[in-house]
Amino acid sequence: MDWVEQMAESLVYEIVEQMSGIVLRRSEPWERLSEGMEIDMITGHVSGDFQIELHFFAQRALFMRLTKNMVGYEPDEEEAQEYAMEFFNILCGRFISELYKASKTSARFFPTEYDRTPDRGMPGQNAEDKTVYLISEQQELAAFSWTAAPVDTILRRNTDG
Amino acid sequence: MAKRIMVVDDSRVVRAEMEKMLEGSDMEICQFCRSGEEALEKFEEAKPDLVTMDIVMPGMDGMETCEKLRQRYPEANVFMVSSMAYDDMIDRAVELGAKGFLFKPFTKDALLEGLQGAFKAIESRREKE
Repeated sequence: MDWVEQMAESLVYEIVEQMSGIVLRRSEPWERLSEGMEIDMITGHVSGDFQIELHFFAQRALFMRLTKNMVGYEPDEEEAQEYAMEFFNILCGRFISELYKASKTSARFFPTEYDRTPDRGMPGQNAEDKTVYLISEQQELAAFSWTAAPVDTILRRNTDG
Repeated sequence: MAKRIMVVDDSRVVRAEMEKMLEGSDMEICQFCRSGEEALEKFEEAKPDLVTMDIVMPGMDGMETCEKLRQRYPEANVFMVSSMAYDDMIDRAVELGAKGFLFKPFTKDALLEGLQGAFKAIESRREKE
């Protein structure tokens, strides 16, 4: 696991726990999903000195619980979607900030899209992406992925001086 | 009298969280704007004591909004609230006249401490003037 993967994984743990008290841990890549399992996907775009796409996949149940823990009541799906997007915006902002600190390469993050029926498929299916897989203490699945090559390039450029 | 805060953030979640966290304090949200453009339009009417400003927003981002707001209303007090947390960003916000910077996600204690610090800085500047 490289520095970016470790950093991404730590950020997800920290932000999810601070926002909702939910504890995630690393999991194996998803091989097969149970029938009827609802996976939602949030997408963000970064442009500027580098361009990447970021995705957060999770079982809808995880987003519902994250929101419930924050608001203190059973949220509806629309409310859970807004809270999930705010979580993702924070995650991406922190992710880009960490990349900036390591590479001094700036970029702008653009607000997100929420997709209940991801036509892009499951995490890990796009060979250009790097993905960290996570699971909650209640066995809810999540994954965070980003376009790997541009990130590796800006980090290498900085290391090479 | 409660100190009046205008929240500029494209997420309603931030407004809801802040409202909850400010309960029982001497601060209240007087205006909520979901974009920089809306903030520029509503500032004069709202006359807030402080503006909390997100950075990542559709359209005009928080930095540009802060700059334009301070050009148009030099008396505007802006406090940045963002997950874009690195030194150059903070330096730029200070250059633009921001009174403070709070990282997302924030706790109630961090929010209250940050806002109270910003109000202290505003009061001390007023006393000097």
